[in-house]
Amino acid sequence: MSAFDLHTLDLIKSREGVIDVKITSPRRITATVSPGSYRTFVEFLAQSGFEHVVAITGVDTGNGIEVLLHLGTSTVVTVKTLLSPDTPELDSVADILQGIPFYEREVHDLLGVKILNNPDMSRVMLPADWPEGVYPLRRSFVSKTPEPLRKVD
Amino acid sequence: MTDAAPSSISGSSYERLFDIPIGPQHPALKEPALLTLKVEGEYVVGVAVDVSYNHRGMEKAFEYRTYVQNLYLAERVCGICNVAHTLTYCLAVERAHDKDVPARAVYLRLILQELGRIQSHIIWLGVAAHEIGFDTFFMYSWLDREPILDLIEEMTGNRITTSYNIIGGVRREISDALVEKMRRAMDHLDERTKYYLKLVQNERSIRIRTQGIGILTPNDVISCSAVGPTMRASGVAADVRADDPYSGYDTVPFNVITRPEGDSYARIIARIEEMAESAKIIRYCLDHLPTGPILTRLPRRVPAADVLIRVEAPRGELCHFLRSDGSDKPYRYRVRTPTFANLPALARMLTSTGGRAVNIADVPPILASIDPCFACCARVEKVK
Amino acid sequence: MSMIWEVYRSLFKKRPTVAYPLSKEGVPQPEGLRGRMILKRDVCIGCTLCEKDCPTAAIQIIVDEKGKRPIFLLDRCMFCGQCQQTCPVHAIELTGYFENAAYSRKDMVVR
Repeated sequence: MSAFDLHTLDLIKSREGVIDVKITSPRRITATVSPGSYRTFVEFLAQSGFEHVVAITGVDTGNGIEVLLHLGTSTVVTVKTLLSPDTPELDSVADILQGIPFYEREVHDLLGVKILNNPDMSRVMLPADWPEGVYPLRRSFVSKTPEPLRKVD
Repeated sequence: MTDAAPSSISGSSYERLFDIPIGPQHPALKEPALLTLKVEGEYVVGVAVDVSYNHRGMEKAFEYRTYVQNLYLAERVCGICNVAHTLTYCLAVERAHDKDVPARAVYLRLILQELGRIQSHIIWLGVAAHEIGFDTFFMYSWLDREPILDLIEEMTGNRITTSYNIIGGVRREISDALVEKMRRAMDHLDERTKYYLKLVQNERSIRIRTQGIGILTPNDVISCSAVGPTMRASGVAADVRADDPYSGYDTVPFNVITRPEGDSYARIIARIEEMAESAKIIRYCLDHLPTGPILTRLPRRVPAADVLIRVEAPRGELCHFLRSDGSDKPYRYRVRTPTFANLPALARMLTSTGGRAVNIADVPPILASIDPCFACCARVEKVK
Repeated sequence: MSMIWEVYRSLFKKRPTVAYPLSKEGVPQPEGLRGRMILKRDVCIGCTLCEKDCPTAAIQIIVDEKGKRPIFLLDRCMFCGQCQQTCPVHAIELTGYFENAAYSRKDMVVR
C-alpha cells in the first residue's frame, strides 16, 4: 500500500455516487459506481491525473452486463458499473478522454452495450455482414466450435 | 475534419474530397487492415481505420478451455510478441492464486522477455526500411536477427512460440555454455546497434522520408492514450516497466528511452536505442542470476478474483484482465493489445492540419512507424 | 552511402545460407529442440492427464494389453510440450526429430 494509493483511495471515498472502493493489490484500486454517476466520476478522475485509458472490459455476469473502465499510468483505477440486463446503456465519455472511441465501439459491437451520445458507433471488430442484434460475447451465445472427433482405430 | 492543408488546390474539380482505400490487401501492409483515406488533392485530411479482418474469436475461446490449455491460446494471439503474452497470462493466474514464483524463474523470464524485445525491434527495423524502399538494410538487419533466434531456440526449444513461461515458473534450466554464448551475442549486438544508429543518422534516403513525417505532439500523445515507443519518441517518459514494475523489473537498473522530436525518425532512433538498453538488461541478469528452483506447483482450480496485469510488450503496453470464478476455466479473459491503443494516435498522425501536410506517399512509412500488429488488434469474437 | 562499404565487404564473408535439404550441415539442432514425441510404454501408468491437458486434442487414449495409453496425432500436434510437462512419471519425451512430413494420414499417428 503506497502512500499514493492510500491518498487516491481517500480522494475517491469522499465523492458521492461511489458505492464501494477498495485497494485489491499494489497499484490497483477498484471503485464501484452506479450507472447514473459514471460520467461525473470519470470526469473527476480525468481531472485528478488519471487520463490514460488502459482498456474497457465488458463482462456478462448472470444478471446484467458489468462495464469496467481502467484508467491510469502507474496506479490503475478500475471504475465498475453494473448495467441492467434488459437495457444496458451507458453515457459516452469520448469527449473527456479522447483515447476512448475504439473501446466504446468494441464493447457495443461485441456485448450490445448501448453507448449514448457517441457520434460514431460503427462496427470495429465484427465483419460487415454479421447480423444485427447478435452479440457474440454474451453467455447466451453458444459457439458451434468444430468438434475434433476423428477417432483412430 | 480538421483544417485542410495549404490552400493551393485549384477549385475546378467537382468533388473536393475523395476516398482512397489502402488495404485490405496492399503491398505496404503486412496484415490486412483497411485505411480509408479522405484525400483532397495530394493531402490526406482524414482517415477511417477498420481492423476487423483478423478477428479470430479468442476472447470467447478462452472461456471454453482450461487454464493449462489457455496458456497456448494466449501465446498465439501474436507470434512476434508471444513471450509478452505468455508472461502476462502467467502473471495473471499467479496473482489470482496470490503466490510468487521463485527468484531464479523471475530472472530467466526477464532474459527471455528482453530477447523477445530485441528480435521484435529488429523485425520492425527491417520492415520499416522495406516500407521506405531500402531493401538492402532490410536484409542485413534480419541477418542480425538470426543469432538472437538461435539463442532463443537453444534456451526454449523453438524460435517463435517459445512455450517457456508456464504457470508457476519456467520450463527449463539454462546451461553455463548458453550463458557464455549469450554474453558473446550481446557484444556482437552492441556493435551492430552502433552501426545501425550511425547508418540511420547519415543515410540521406532514410532522413528525407522520415524526418518531419508523422509528427505527434506530447499533448496528442496524452490525450489519445498512445503507448509504447510511439509515445516515448514524442518526449513522454512513461514505460510500464518503470511505472508499474512486474516480474523483477524493479530490481534491474535500466533507462527509459525517450526522444524529443516526435516524428518517424525519432521512433526509429528510439527503437534502436531500446535494443541497446535490452542488451544491458540481459547482461545484468546474467551476472546476477540467483540459484534455486525454477517452478512452483500451483493447483488447477483458480480462486475467484479480478486481476488486471500490464506488461511492456515490444509494441507498447499490453494488458490482460482475468475474472476467475473458482473453477478450472476462466469466466472472462480480456486482451487489450498495444496496437489497438495506438489507433487513435495513428488517425491523428495521418490527418493534415494547418501547419503540416500529410501526402499520400507518406502513409506507408507513418503506418510502419507505429509498429502495427493487426493480428493482435482484432482477436476477439467470431464463432462457427 | 555508408551501406555500400558493408555490402562490398560481405562479398568476402562466408555465406550465411545453409544448403538444407541437400545437406544438414549448418542447420542448428540444439539439444532441447521440440520435435516428434516418443512414449516410454513401460513407464506409462495410464492416468490420462496428458489427454486432458493437450490444447489441440492431439492425444487420444486407447487400451492395449497393459492398460490405457496415449497415441499422438501429429497433424493436430503443435509441439508445445505440455504433455511432457504434465506427465507425472516422465513417460513422454519430445525428441529433436523434425522431419515429420508424410504422404498419408496413417503415418502421422505416433503409437
